Formats: sequence, structure tokens, C-alpha cells
Amino acid sequence: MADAAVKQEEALVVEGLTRRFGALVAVDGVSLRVAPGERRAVLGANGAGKTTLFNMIAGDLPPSEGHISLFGRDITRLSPQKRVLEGVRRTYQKSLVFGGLSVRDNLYVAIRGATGPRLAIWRRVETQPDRDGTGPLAERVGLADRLDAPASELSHGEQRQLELGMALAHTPRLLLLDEPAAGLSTRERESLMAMLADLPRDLTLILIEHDLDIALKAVDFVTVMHNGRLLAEGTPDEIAANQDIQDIYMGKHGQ
Amino acid sequence: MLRNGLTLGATATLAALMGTTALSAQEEETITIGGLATLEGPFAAPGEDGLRGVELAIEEFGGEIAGHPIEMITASSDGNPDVALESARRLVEQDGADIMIGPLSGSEGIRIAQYAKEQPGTTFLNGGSAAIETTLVDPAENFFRFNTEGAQWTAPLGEYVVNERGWDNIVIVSEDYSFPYAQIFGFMATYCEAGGTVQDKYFTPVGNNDYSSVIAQLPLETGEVDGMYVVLGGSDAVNFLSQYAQMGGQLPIVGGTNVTDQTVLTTQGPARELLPGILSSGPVSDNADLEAWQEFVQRYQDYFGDEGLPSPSLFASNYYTNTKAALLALQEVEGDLSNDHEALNEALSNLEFTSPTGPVSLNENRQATAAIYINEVVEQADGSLALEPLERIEEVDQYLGLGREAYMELGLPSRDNPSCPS
Amino acid sequence: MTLRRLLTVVVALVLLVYPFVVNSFWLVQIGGRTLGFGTIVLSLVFLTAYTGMLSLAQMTVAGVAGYATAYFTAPTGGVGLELAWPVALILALGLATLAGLLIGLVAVRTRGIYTLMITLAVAMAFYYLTLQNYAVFNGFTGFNNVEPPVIAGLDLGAPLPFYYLSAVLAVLCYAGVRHVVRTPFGLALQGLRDEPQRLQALGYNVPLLRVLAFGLAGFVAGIGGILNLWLNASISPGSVALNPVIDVLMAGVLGGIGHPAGAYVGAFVFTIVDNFAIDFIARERFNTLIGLVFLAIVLFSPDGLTGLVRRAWARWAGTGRRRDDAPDDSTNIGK
Repeated sequence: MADAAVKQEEALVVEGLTRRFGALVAVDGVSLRVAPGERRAVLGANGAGKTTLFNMIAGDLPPSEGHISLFGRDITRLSPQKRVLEGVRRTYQKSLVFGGLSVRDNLYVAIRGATGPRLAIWRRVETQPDRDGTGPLAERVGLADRLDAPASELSHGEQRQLELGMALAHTPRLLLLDEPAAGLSTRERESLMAMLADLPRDLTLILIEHDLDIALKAVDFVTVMHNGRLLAEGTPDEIAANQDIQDIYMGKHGQ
Repeated sequence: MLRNGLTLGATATLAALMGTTALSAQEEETITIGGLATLEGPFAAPGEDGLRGVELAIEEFGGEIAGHPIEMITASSDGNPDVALESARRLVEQDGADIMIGPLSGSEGIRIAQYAKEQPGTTFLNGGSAAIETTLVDPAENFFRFNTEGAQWTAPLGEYVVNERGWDNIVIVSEDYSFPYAQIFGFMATYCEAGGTVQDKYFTPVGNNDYSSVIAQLPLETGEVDGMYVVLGGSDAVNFLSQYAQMGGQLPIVGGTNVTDQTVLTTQGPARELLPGILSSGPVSDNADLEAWQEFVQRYQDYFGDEGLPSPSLFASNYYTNTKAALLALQEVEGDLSNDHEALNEALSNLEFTSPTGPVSLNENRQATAAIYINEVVEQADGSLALEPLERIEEVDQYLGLGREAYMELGLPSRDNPSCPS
Repeated sequence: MTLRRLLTVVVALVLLVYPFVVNSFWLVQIGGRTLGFGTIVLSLVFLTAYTGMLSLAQMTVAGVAGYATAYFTAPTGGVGLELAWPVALILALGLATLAGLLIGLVAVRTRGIYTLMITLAVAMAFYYLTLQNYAVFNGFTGFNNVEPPVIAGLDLGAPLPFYYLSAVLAVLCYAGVRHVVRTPFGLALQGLRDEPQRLQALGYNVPLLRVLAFGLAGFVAGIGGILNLWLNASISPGSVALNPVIDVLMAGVLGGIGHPAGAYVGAFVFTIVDNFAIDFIARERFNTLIGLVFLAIVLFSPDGLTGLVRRAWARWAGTGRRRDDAPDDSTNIGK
């Protein structure tokens, strides 16, 4: 897998990415290649470095070492805002929605963030032409009938849907979902799976997931991390069949 | 919300009206005197004593003039000109004061004198404030100051230290605002003229506690420098003198008027040893053989007893003087306030009378001309400290005896003005 | 919605008619001060309600505008540079905005109590600067006799014109704030208040937004500062000392820092207490009374008087009539 040449068609290439926090090495020389349109899961126990890896890809944390490129462009030094314009979107482990704003306004903030101008001050949002985009977006994540509800009044499941909707604003090219199913009921998980399955095929998706079933069902390829390093990669079937991984992963996680 | 305010306002107005009705049982209309002084903040004690002066003057006239009952209302400031203005507006525009007495401190006075221009229907008399600008820069027609101001108080002293003591090189330590500037201004006007030079000026903020950085730069004994002119008030003076004494400082001291105020002279502790021998100047002298002052002190002590200070302060005297002027003028015009107080203001402009500090009259800017004492702090038989008069200079006017033109050429006082030409 | 409109009409009528039912003290000292001071409070409420940031430097920013206006329209004792008043006012507001931006830059990495402390430090630094600087601020004395301009024979310093000037500017500032929070910029600010991390992941430059919010608040505070200057006809270090700095926060909390209307309600109540408390209570206890009123409000209605009214209203509307099922057009977002 460690082919040095960066091929133009790769959606995301991560090379030797390392992040230290003092003496602790949270991510240790991780390299990844994700093809356009690929669905990839990153598995690993708590503390394996998955979220840190996400933070570096999204630009929330600068890496200590290594490089990240997106569709052939080096984005290692790019600010998070610039990466959004490049098409990188993410969600967080915890639902982070704007509780004081309505669902529509939440989605609109997301649309503006991806398209700009973000600091327009002359015209009210009600008269902004691109505000129409909030309707279809809400529909995609099943919130069409909740557009005017304040986000703080949404159920936990709906908040996760809203987060996904915000991440889908405009045209993302790389979507990073950090445990999208955390805290959801079985039924909600299923509808989430369906939503993920409906995403356009040219969208590259990486998700962190604790739930092996979901992870293995939803993706084409799996990366397993352990103690900040890459432990294994393979198709869901290969990973499912790998007893070592099952032991480590389930052993830690099952506690 | 505004509706609430209106109700409240109506209540307040009603209360004021009721107050008026209750008092106007007699046939003539009540005349309201508004007293404005600093009843909060660092000058609260002088402020209270100032209002005692107002009360004493009204009492002296039996609370009425030509059948008009005199009502006294008061409002408070904290030394901040914004607050003084707010309180003055309240007294004049809300409570309907006919005559205003106040305020107490220098910068407040400048502000109130400007406000007087907006209110031609009210007569303003100064309280205790003593900044130069109040009656010099574009003075208001209806603002009168029957007390002398900061520069007048110190003008005779500058000349005196050069001629009588032979000091011709001093340093100055002062608070950093308008009143001390005025005191330095008056002092230096005659001091420089007589051949003195100022080695350095040190300015410290009002309410400073730590003077070590200033003291470190001061000489501790006479040598090249003959003495030190200290223009600090109240606790600032006590703190500075204590710290200077503790450092072993022995320079002879000339004081601004507030340095030898009763509040400083009654202090215990290290500052006390530096006090005897300090020269200062001002409108009063404890041991002056002045009948008017002794009469005033007696009246004050009889009326207030234990409630007042052991002896009236300069502020009580200044507020008293201004109130008394207003009442004398009112008496002269028999309470006639018609036509924007035309008669009253005319009477005030021409009024001459004997204040507790001696005869006083006004010049064309409605600023007092009166006598000034040069004092030395002496220890009394009972161990207390008092001001012993060395000289009494009659009729010190606003222009410090320089004449209007020469005086105006000096410009306005500031940190750098004046400076002795070398 | 009709009720909201009705309320608007009532407020407009009260503002219009007010001068004709009160004396000059109530017109200028209560009315004018409420509107000018309230606008400074509004700048704080804007920051707090829509960006979640507290600042103690709003009076300072207002002071910058006040000092600038004085410096450029009323030179005194060799300090100042007389300019045409429109130029002076533009400069003053520009400087206030700049001051807001700079304070924002200083405070941008801090949160909560730390923002409060750092802005307080800025405020005190400015106070001592004005006190000790003579070249620009004229030290302890400051600027006196600063009169508003006379435009086409209309003296804006006279009580009635000054009141209406204050009212118009206050209404404009209030409407401006209500407008801005419904623009993309305003929504982003509220996003910043709720989840700054999320906002960043959506492509917004969070520190820049914070700084710009401070700049806008500085502009609004600057307008209030100029009105305050004209009300007092002067400005001195006492105008930007600790007391007035704290007063802004007090008035804000009194009225409720969750809604822009709270700014003016708070400023009004504060002005009333400030002017009339002395009638009901000995002056030594005066500050105690203000403190107690403050404490009572914080204790019984943490979102201030507007919060109290809103809750009472909600209760009345909830029990008195069936609630309108149609969801509100989310125009009153602002917590």
C-alpha cells in the first residue's frame, strides 16, 4: 500500500502523519490512501488516535509531522476554513448544533460557510436567494418538517441528522463523520444507514465508528488503528475474518 | 417602561409640590436654595461641612427673606463633574431651585459654571470650588464666586519665600489636576517674578498611596535645593509626608492651602513631625485676630455643637460666605426674582460685605477680591497645631495684582504652565 | 406578530409624545440619558446576547468616541484640532470602531470571566491614560464646553432637538442590531455563541468574527458615547473611570442581557434609581440601594426585567388564549 507516488485520482492521501502532545504520541506515522467515492471506516479502541487523525485532516489540529493532500493538492498547511472551500466537511463525536438558531438557520449558516460571502451584513437572510437551499438539504436528512424548530428542541437523533445536513451543505468532496451513530436508537441507526447509503457516489466518506456492524456494512474498506498506529487495512470481510483484530477491538471496546 | 417612569416622575413632582405647599402657608412665595456638595467619595467630609455653612447662613436670616420662606434642598456629587452636572440639573430642572450654591471641587465648578449659561433663570453661587477657569474663561453672567480661588490663595506666598526666607530654588510635588495647577500657578507667578527657580515638578495622581518613586528623586536635606512646595490634599498629604519623614527627609516645606487644612494638622504618626514650621497661605488663619472669623466660629459651634467639626473648615466658610451673599442680595431686592433674577443678579454684582475671612467684593467676572494670609504652622500650648498668621495681604484680586492684561498673558495653568524663565 | 407591531407603535408614540408631558429635567436628564447611555448598554447586550462575549470596555469605547469628538470639535488649552463636525463625527465613530476591533483582538483568545478581566484591564488602562496624558486627553480636566453642532439654525444641544436626536439614533442603533442579527453575519455570530468549534468546521474564521463583533459593538457604543458627551457637554477621566464602566454592566443585567430591548429598559431603570434613590434613602446608603436592586433582579430574574416581562407575558398568553400553532417566523431568536 505504501506506494510513494501520489496518483492524481486519489481523493485523500495521508503520509507519515504524526501528532504529539508532549511525550504522548497520539497519532504515529499514519499513512492512508482513499480513492474518490470510496467509503472508508476507521476503527479502533478509545485512544487509538482516530479523532486526532480527523482533527488533522480537517485542519483543527496542525500535525507534528507528515503531509495531507486532497485530490492531489497539498493541504497540510491550509486553515480549516480554506479546507471547507476545498470540500472537506466533518462532524463531531458530540452533537454540535447552534441551539439558539432554527434548523433552517443552522443549515443556512452551513451553506454560507461553504459558499460565502460569510460576513454579508446588508441583506437579511430572509431575502438571500441561496436560502432556498435549506429546504432540499433538510429533506435529504429527514428534517423537512422541522425547519422552523429551534435546534435546541430537537431530539438527539434529529440533532445528529442536522449535523449531517450541515456537513452536506453545498458540495462536499470529502466527508469525515466522527461516530455518527453514537447514542442513536436501533431505528434511528437504520435510517442513518439509509441516509449514508443515499449519498452521491462521487462523495468520499470516512467514518469513525465503534459499532462494528454498522461500520462493516456501510463501507468498502476498513482501516484499523491501535495506539496511534495503523494496525491493519482490508475489506470488511477480511477485517471481520481477522481474529487478532476482533480480539483487540472487541476486547477493549467490550468493557 | 416609559409609562412607569412617568408615574414615578409624577410622584416625585407631586412630592415636591406638596413640600412647597406645606411651606408656603405664608403669603409670599418660597425661595428654594439648592445646595450641591460632594457627599460621597473622598471629599465627603468637606462636602458635609460645606452644607453646614449653607444651613448656618439660612438660619442666620431666620429662614426667611422679606416674607419669603427660604427652603433648602440638597444634592450630592462624588467629585466627578459628570455627577455634579447631573445633580445640578436635578436641583434646577426637577426640584425648581431658584438659587444654587455649589459645587465643592475645582473641575466640578468649571462644569457647573458652564451649565449656568443654559439656565439664565437661576442664580448660581459657587460653593467651595477654587479652579481659576470657572470665573476667568468665558464666565457665565449668572455665576458668582464670593470666595477667592486657588491661585489667589497662593500668590502672596511665592514672593514671600524668596524675599523673606531667601529660597530661590525649590522642587514641587503636586496632585495632578486643575486645583493644584491653580495653586502652583499663583505661587509661581510671584515666585518667578521675585527671582526664584523651580528645579523640578513631580505630579502624582489623586488618591495615590505609594510615593516612594517620587521620594527617591527628592533631596532629603537642603543643599542645592532650598525647599519643597507640596500641593497635596487630605490623605494624599498625610501619606506623602509620612513616607517622606520615614525616609528621613528634612527639606523645609511650603504647603499648598490644603496641606495645612485641619484634616492634615490633626494627623498623628510620622507626618506630624514635619508639620510645625510649614509655611502656607490661604483665606483663613486659625490665630488671626479677626473678629468676623471668631464670630463665625462661635456661631458654627453654637448651632452644630457635637454634630459639626470642632472648628469650621474652609469649606464651611466658603459655602457660608456664598450663601450669605445670596441672602443679603435677596434682602436688598426684597425677594424679587422676576425677569430672570435681573434685580438679584445686579445686587449680587455690586454686593460688598464682611465675610468670615474679612471684606469681600466682586470684580467684573463676578470673582471675589479678598484678603489672604501667609501662615506658619505652630504648636499650641495644648500640643495641637494651628495656623499662625505671618502676614495679611489685603484685596488680592483675580489677576493677582498683575493687572488683567499681564495676567491673561500668562495663559491658563497646566502641568507646564507657568515655568520660571531662567 | 400583531402584538409585536402594536408594541412597536406604542413605543414609537411614547417616544414622540414624551417631550410634551415632562419637564426639561425628565426630557434631558432622564430621557436623553436613557437613550444615550442605553445605546452604550446596547453594544454590551449585542455582544452578550448574540456572540456570548462579555465586555467591560464598552464605556471605554464610548469614551474614545467622546474624546475624539471633543478633540476635533472643542479644542481646549492648546489640545485638539478643530475640524468640520461631519468629519469629526466620522473620525470619532471610526476611532471607536477601531478601538472595538483592537479590544476584540486582545480579548479574542479568552472566554467568560477572562474576557471580563482583560476588558476591565483595558478599561482601567484607558482611564489612567486619559488621566495622565495631556497632549491628547488634557489630563484630569478633559474637555469642557463641547456643544453639539447647530445645523441649519437648529441647535442640537437644546433640550427638545437633543432628545429627538437621541431618540432617532437610539432607534436606529436598536433597529440596526435587530437587522444585523438576521443577516448571514449575524447568524454566524449566533453560531459562534452556541458552538464556535462547529462554526469553524463550517468554514468560518471564528477569531475574525469575534473581532468584527467587537468592532461593530464599538461602533454602536461610539454613537452612545457621542450622545453622552453632548448630554454632559464635556468629558473627563471621570467619564471612563471604574464606576461608569461598571454602570454599563449593571444596567445591562438590570434590563436583561439576553435581548436588545433590555439595554434601554436597564438604562432607564438605572437612571431613575441613580437620580431618585437619594429621595428615599440616606445618601450614605445610596450605593447600597443600587446594589440591592441589582442583587434582587439577578436573584429573581437572571435574564433581567425584560426576561421577567417576557415570562409573565408567556404565562398570560399561555393561559389566556390558545397559543398560535403556526410557528413563529423565528425573528426573535436571540435566546
